[in-house]
Formats: sequence, structure tokens, C-alpha cells
Amino acid sequence: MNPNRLVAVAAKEFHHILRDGQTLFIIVSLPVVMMFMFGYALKSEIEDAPIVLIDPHPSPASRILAQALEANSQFHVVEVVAAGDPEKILVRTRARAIIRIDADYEKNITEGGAQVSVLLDGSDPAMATTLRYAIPGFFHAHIAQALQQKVPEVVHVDTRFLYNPEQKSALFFVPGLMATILIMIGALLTSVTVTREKESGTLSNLRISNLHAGEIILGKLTPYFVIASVSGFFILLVGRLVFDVHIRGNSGFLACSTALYLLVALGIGLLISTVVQKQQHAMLMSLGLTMMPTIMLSGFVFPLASLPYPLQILSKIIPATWYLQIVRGVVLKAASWNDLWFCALVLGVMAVVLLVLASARFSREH
Amino acid sequence: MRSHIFMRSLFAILKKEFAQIKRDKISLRLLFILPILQTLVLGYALSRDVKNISFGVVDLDHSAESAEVAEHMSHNARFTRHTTFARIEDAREALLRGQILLTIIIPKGFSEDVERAMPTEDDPESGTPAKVQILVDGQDAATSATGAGYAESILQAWGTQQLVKHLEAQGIEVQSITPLEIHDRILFNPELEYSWYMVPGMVVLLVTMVTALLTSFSLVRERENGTLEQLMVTPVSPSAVLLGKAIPYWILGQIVFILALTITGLWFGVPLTRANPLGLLLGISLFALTCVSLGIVVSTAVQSQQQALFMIWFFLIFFILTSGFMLPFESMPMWMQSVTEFNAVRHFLYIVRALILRGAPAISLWPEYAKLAFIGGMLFLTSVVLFKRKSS
Repeated sequence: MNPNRLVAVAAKEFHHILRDGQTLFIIVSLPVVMMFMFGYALKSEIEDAPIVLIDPHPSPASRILAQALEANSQFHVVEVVAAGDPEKILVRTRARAIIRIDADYEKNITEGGAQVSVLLDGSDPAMATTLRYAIPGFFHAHIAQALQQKVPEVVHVDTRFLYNPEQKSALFFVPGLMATILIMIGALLTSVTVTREKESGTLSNLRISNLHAGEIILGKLTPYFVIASVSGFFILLVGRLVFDVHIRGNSGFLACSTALYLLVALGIGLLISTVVQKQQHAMLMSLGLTMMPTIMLSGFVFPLASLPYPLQILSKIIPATWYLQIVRGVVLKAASWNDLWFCALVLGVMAVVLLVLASARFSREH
Repeated sequence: MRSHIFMRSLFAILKKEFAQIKRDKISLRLLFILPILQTLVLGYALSRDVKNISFGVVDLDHSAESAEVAEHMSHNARFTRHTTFARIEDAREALLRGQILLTIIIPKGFSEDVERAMPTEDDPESGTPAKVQILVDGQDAATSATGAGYAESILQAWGTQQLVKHLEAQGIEVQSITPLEIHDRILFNPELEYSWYMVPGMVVLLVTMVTALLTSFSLVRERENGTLEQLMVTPVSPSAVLLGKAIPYWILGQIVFILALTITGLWFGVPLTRANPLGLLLGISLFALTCVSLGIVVSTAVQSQQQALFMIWFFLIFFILTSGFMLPFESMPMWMQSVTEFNAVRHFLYIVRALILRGAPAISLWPEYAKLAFIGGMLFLTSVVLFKRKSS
């Protein structure tokens, strides 16, 4: 292997990337845009759920109730109606829950025995579950306050959130974005570029030159490794400057694990490009085999423990599952090598296996 | 006469395009199998519910009551994996390693505190409540808040149960602790199956992605190969070329949608029969128009398939995140909600879910249909203008 020739291939690849300003712009700006979206526009908590209140006999107490419901950040009272079929309202409108109080609400809450019925739109289970707990909770607090009566409490639960006491969502999306963007650059971009060279025939040109297969592979992969590293660094930087996400653990360990994860991603990208002949196929495969699982099955968006058993096993072969544990561990928990060595080991094994396999296939085609 | 020529050349191009699609077996296979396979796998995964929670118990009281509390927790279906720790430090270590989501800590003297918390003759309101601490791994804000909420409500329910027992032992009949009784009933999806909600959504996303990508790919590829230019120098009008390119993918998108929805819906037992089939067809035909137009617009702005891929990916991430697919859009700030009025994915997703899950009459969804038609129409016109400008 000749370092000069390797540098030549890498320089050519860099040149390609830099010339295509549009793609470069998207690669760099996508994570930043996503961070701002997650940071400012998107929330997983439920707020302002549309609610219709059926109040057959308006009274001062029921009006206070309506105001209190509206004042609560979780609910938004769309309408107060005197009568109506709650099921019809739920089918035809955007309301997520219908609360119906009885005609003697005012009298009954002081004397006891008030009946409240809640009809929930189960089509969004997350919303329904939240409202199912939130509405009774609201009523108990509201009645206790309105009647100035204390509900006896036997057990007081004091809950403390470790590692993320303020429940900031940035601490959740910054690591997830790292995992997603790095696989996007490593697997998607790489597989598509290599197959593009195949399609246009320039890869054959490289092959009939006196370049060694290893030089071509390293030369092609190095620029993407660099770009992905820069992008990862950028995500952490924006996370720190804008969203106040500080790395509590050892940055060196994080950097090494990130490098391993990137090698895994590049291995996948190279492997895909040896399997397919066309950019279009490379892209569909990368999206299907890497992007979607990384977002859905790695624990980024959906909690891993809730997965059914076969999918839990499947999630173990997804590199992002292990990488995410490392990033979250290091960034949030100040976890160290002692706690996370196994995750790093798994990534290392994956990287070696994938790269060896991909290089072997690539050289055979050579 | 002119329209006759137009139709003939359009048919010729359509024939060529369909032949090309049929010849590319790999794309066709990926096109149909990927959405279905992914939805089948991810249908099980796409749940924001928190289940199988592994939790720890640190019992510093060693009393009958504290044992009962721990027991009470592990009897709950959500809390499955139970570890007992002798010291708080051990539980913290397990939290750090991600082995448990939360731990409850029952302090020394808990049983006496429970005793003292009960209301007495001279003090009908209860005394100071007994304390229990929960430590939660807060790394994933949504999961940890949900898990902690479940744990809190279980512990409080245990407390209320003790109170009722205590009052009954004193001969006081207890009907309700509060002056208010709340009944709830869940419509449309009484078992709260996440897959019912997520599977139709997933199908919508995959169809969006595949239709837009393939349309723009087929145009960009012809431009890369120079065959588009060859077509342009023939007497065939640019509109015929454009329609000849758009119609196959418009039809393909609809077929993929119907097929994927039917197969995955049957698999997960999604109540597809509630939906008005004409309402669904109208929706997908309008929506597929939007996806195809997006593909054409992107194809006029890029030089290579790779650029097309990244540009569409960029748009789609926006559309998906703000569509209400997994994050409720009521929670978005008002300005963002207004911006998403232009997001066709949002409207179509709403239509699909309303039709299938709620069995909503299609008429009641007319505003969504109108918005979808408007967005699709405008985008298609834009794509025609851009395509003609680029080709001339």
C-alpha cells in the first residue's frame, strides 16, 4: 500500500464532495435544523389536548371548572355544550376527550356523589393513556381546592430524576441525532457514492489503474470518516452552546467509541455497495436496513424494554443500540470505561467483521 | 388533431415508462416488499408505551408493610423485572449502568410513619404522610416521566387502600375517598393497541418516501444519461413527457399504499372495515399527486440522483416530524401548527387515521381533503412550470 496513492484517491474524493455543495449543505444543516426543531417546536409531552365539556345545567361551580380546565396546560377546552351525543362529537371532531358532568354538579360536589363521565378517543393510545390519568388527577386537585378540603394522603412519593433533573428533552435528542446522522453519512452517503462510480464506470477506471484495492477503499472511506466526525463534533457543539448539553464523562472515550461506530457505518455502506449495482438500489437498501432501524429500533425514539422479545434480540444487532448507550452514558451519566466497555467491544467486533467482509467482497470484484 | 397527437405520444411514453419499471425487478421488489416488511416489523416496535419496566427496591425498613409495597409493585403488569438492593449505592450503580429504569427507596421507620399518617378522632384530616423515594434514570425524558408516573400512582393506590382498610376497621363505611366519582370509557381502540395507530401512519410515511424518491430518481437518471434530452428533441411535447413520467408513479404509489395497508392492517387486526373505501381512495389519489409533484420539483433542482436523495430526505424529515406521526401536534407551538397547514403528510395522516380508527364519515373530513387537493394542485402546477422551464 502506497500512502501517496492513498492520499491521491482521498483527495479526489474530497474534491468530489466539496464540489457538490448542495449535498454538503444538506449534510451539515440537517442535524442543526433537526436540533432546533426538537428543541423549540417538537414536544413529546401532551399539551393543549382538545376537550369538549358537556355541562347540562351551567352553574357557577361548573363555570369555574371550565375555566380551571382551560387554565391547565394539558387541556384545551374547545367547546362547552349543554347537550349532545358524546360519541358523535368524538367521531366528527378533533376533540380527544369528552367530559360530561351531571346536572346537579354544584350540589353534588359539596354533598358527595358527583358523577363525571369521561369518553376518550382511543385512536391515539399515548394521548388516551395520558388523559386517562390526567383528568382524574385534575378533578381531585380541583375539587380539593374548590372545597378547601384535603384529601388524606398516606404515602407521599418524592420522585427524583437523576442525570436529567430538569427533564430537558435536548439530553434525549442530541445523542439520538449523533447516532442517526453518523449512520446517514457513513452508510447511506458512502454506499450511494460508491455505486455512482460503479454506474458511471469510473470505478472500473480506478480498478484498471495500478491502485491496490485497499488504497481505493481507504481513500474512498477516509473523507466520509472525516466529514462524519466533523458533523458529530458539530452536533455536540451546538448541543453545548445552544441547548446546554455538557459532556459529563470522558470525552476521549466518547471520541474513540464514535470512531468505532463510524467504522461500523462505513463497513455497512461499503458492503451494500458491493451487493448492488445501482444508486437507486443502494439508497433503498441503506434506508431500509440502516436508517429506519436506527431511528426506530435503537431505543432513540421508542423505549427498548417495551419491545417484544424477538425485536429486543433484533435490536442487539443494530449498531446504534450500543452506540446510543455509550453516548447517553458518557454525556448524561458520566459513565466510564468500566460501565461501558462491553458496548464498545460489541461495536469493535462489528466494525472488524463488516470491514473485513466488505473489503473481501470489494477486492474480489476488483 | 393536436390533442390526438398529444394523447398518442403520451401513451407511447407511458408504455415505455411502465416497461422500464417492470424491467427493473430489484427496484420493484424493494418498492413493494420494503414498506410491507418494515411495517410488519416496526408495527411491534412503534409503541411509546412503557412496559416491562425493570425496577429496584431498596428496603431499609424490613417490615411487613415495606414488603407489601414491593410486592404490590411487582404485581403490576408493567413492572416485570424486580431486583432487591441492600444499599442505596447499589441501586444507583444499577441505574448508572442502565440495568433498571427506577428504584423505590423505602426509608427506615416506614411502617410507623404509615401508622401515624392515618386520620384519628381528634384529627380527622390525616397527619404527615409516610415518605417513599423514587430515583429515576432521567436520560430519556418521556420514558422516565411515564415510568415514574406509573410507579407513583401504584404507591399512592397502596396508600389509599391502607386508609380504606384502616377506616373500615374502625367501623366507618367508605364509599369513596373523594366526593366525586369518575368513570372513563375508551372509544375506537378500547385495548389501546399502539399498532392500530402506528401501522397506518407507517404505511403513509413509507409510501411518501418511495413515491417521491422514485419519481425524481427516474427523471434525474434520464437527465444523467442524456435520454431526457433525446426525448425533448422529438416532437413529443414536454407536457406529454412530464405526464408520462408522473402517471406511472402516481398509480404505483396508490397501489403500494393499498397493498401495504391491507396486508399490514390485516396482520395487526387494524379495523380497516370501519373506513370508507372511497374516502381512502380519494385521499391517496390526492396525496400521491403531492408526492409525485414533490419528486418532479426536486428533480428540476438537482444534478444527480444523490442530490435528489438528500434533498427529498431533508424535506421528508420535516414533513414527518411535524405531521403528528409520533409526536402529538397539539403540543407544538401555535406558529409551528400554522406552518404545518402546508404539510400534506399531516392532512393525509389525519384523514387515514380518522377514517380507519374512528370510522369518521368522509364528509366530515372535507377541510382536510380540500387542503390536500390545494397543496397537491399547487405543487403539481409548480412542478409543470419548473419542468418546462428546465427543459426548454
